[in-house]
Amino acid sequence: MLADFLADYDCLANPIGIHRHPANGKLLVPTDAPLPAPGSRLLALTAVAPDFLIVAGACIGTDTEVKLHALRKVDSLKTRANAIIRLCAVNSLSALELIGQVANNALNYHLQVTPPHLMTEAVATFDGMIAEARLLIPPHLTPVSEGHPIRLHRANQVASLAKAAGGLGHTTALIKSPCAYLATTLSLLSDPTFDVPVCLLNDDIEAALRLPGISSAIPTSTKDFALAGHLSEPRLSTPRKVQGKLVVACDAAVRAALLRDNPVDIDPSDPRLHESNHLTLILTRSQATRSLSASQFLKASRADPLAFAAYMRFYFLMLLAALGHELPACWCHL
Amino acid sequence: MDAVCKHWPEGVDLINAFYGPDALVLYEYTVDGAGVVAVFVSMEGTRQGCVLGSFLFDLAMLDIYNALTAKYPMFVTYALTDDLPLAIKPPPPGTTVGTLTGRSCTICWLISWPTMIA
Repeated sequence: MLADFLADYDCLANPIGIHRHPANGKLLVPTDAPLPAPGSRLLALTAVAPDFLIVAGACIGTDTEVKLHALRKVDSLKTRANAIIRLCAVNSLSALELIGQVANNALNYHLQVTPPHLMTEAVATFDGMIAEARLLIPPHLTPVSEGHPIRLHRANQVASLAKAAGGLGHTTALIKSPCAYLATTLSLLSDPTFDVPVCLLNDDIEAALRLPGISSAIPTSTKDFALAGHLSEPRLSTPRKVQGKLVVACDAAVRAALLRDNPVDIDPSDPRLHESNHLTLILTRSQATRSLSASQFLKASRADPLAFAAYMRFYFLMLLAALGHELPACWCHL
Repeated sequence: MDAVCKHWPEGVDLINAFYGPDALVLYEYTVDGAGVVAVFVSMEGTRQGCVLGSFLFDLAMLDIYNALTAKYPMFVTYALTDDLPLAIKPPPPGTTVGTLTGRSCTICWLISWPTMIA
């Protein structure tokens, strides 16, 4: 029957000059299913992909192949990140912004269409690549390995926060992955065009909800959601908006953890402490420079209120937190 | 043009104005280090960079997709321009499928092919 379908397609499309690409049209057969018989009519009309195929950019196939495809995608993005790093010799501020705007968003589509539990390795590799690129941009920075692990972790936590929360806006793929997939899934389930049974997606949804960061970050009731300000927009009409709200919720959890975990115990005699502080300062100053210089592109050249608020919050609160100072409890709500 | 005439008659004059004349396509290459500019005439298909390209392609494919989905209602098909992912529901357990080797079992196919304008 499939052979008939393909033959009918060719019969209808070929006369108007449209032909199936012989290398791209493929048939995916599940691993536990038998293959078409050798010499069958079907094999003359299409090729068999035993493990996976790509549909609209998304990998569909065995878990192993989906994971490998994600890793290959991340690997292909290293060229882009390296090109941006080279830009820092000319303009490190632009390079830092491009790392956030271009490189850090390059995996977004794959995060939307791939179950998070199949993306864990790729996500870890990708986040590591972004963190490394971020630290390579300040040209006079000491090698990353010399920084104290706690400081490095803290610096990366700061950078992953939203700009409005005093971060660099480099939201990690670890947070985006389940948020993006859940938002896309919700959109799919509510779209009458597709009529997808929820049961088909239950495993993936549960796996996404179980991932660290999601289970603790998503408010458990609508009241909590409302109190957190996540329902300020009356309509969440697109997957991106839903994803944005979930990311904001997770961001809040990261920020709360950042404040809660202070002070950090680091041995003052640790030789790496000085370099680690330098590292944190470099990152925080980059953020402050970004906040203030962004408004220079505006006609009035006045500090944008949100950017200024972020700058104040960052320099008065987040920097202290990043350096391990204990913050008064009353400051935490800022 | 047949598809435009059938599905979007109001747009026939517009598309005739854009696609009636053949389009010149310029391309550059080098021979022994010297740049050469050549030209050929585009006489069919949508044009590179045309904002109506996807829409016109979709119009041309609409009747084909409709005919196929009508003839094969048992297949799940969703088309997006030149992508036609096709999912075939598994036959009931125990069904013998003559064109397959090995034991009959639950089978699910999924195919996809980007088309190419010759």
